Amino acid sequence: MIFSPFLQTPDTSGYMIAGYVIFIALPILFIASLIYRQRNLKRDEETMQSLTEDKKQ
Amino acid sequence: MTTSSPRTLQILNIVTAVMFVIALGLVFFYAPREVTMGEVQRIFYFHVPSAWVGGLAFFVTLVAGVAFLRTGDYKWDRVGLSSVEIGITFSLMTLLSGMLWARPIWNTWWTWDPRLTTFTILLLLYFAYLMLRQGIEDSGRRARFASVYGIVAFISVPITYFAIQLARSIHPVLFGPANPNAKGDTAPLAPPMLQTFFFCLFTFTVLYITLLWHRIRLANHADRVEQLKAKALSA
Repeated sequence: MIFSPFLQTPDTSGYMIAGYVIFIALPILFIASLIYRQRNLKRDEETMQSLTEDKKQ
Repeated sequence: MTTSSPRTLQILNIVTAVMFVIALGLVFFYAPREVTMGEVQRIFYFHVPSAWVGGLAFFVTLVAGVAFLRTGDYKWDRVGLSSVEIGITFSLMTLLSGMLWARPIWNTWWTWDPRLTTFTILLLLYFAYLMLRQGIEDSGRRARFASVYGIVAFISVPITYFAIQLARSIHPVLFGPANPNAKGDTAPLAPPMLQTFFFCLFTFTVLYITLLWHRIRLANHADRVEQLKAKALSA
């Protein structure tokens, strides 16, 4: 309390912004990887289905 | 994520997104600025919930591992793998955001403090879980090995949590008694800070549930494609 008039809050906003970029970017990257893998699986599924149909014919 | 998500999952997606935006609003506009650390203290509101989700995810992997070994049902193997992926993502968030907080507060990006060291070991252990799975071709063996590994690796979670209470550490102690020799004990939080923190904790738990649901659906899809491949090869 005695020192409070002399206490200066440091400017650490740059570090905070970088922190929140990480908090937002990493879940987005994870979701993007899910979408990417989902698309690949769909493509594989379609290929497999057409292969089995070709073999049947 | 997939084209035909169940209605509950679609609602959960929206609820999670809204909660995330509210959490950000509380962090930046409701919680007051901490006087000694300045703005960087706001990292704490997402840093601790990320660590919580990491621990929760690895606990779910432990439960899934036990369930697989008891039942032999492969759905538990898929739950375990899905949860580890999410756990690693959130643990990385914890580690990187912690480094960003430490730079202005401890004047260093990194120090071999007991909490930081045990947390790094934890993260490496779960990266090794993924590598172990990649290295085993047979699905039965892979699921068994991964289950046992997931159970054993969980030991690192309580060790990491209690590291700051058992050893001398400069890491702040939020809950529970601090080690008498510790240097990182923190002052109690003001009510708006506590309210913001608990809302963020709840939001991250909901986010984990949503991501886990999507990841399990992806794993189920991958399993169906594998069966199709086997069918196509045998036909």
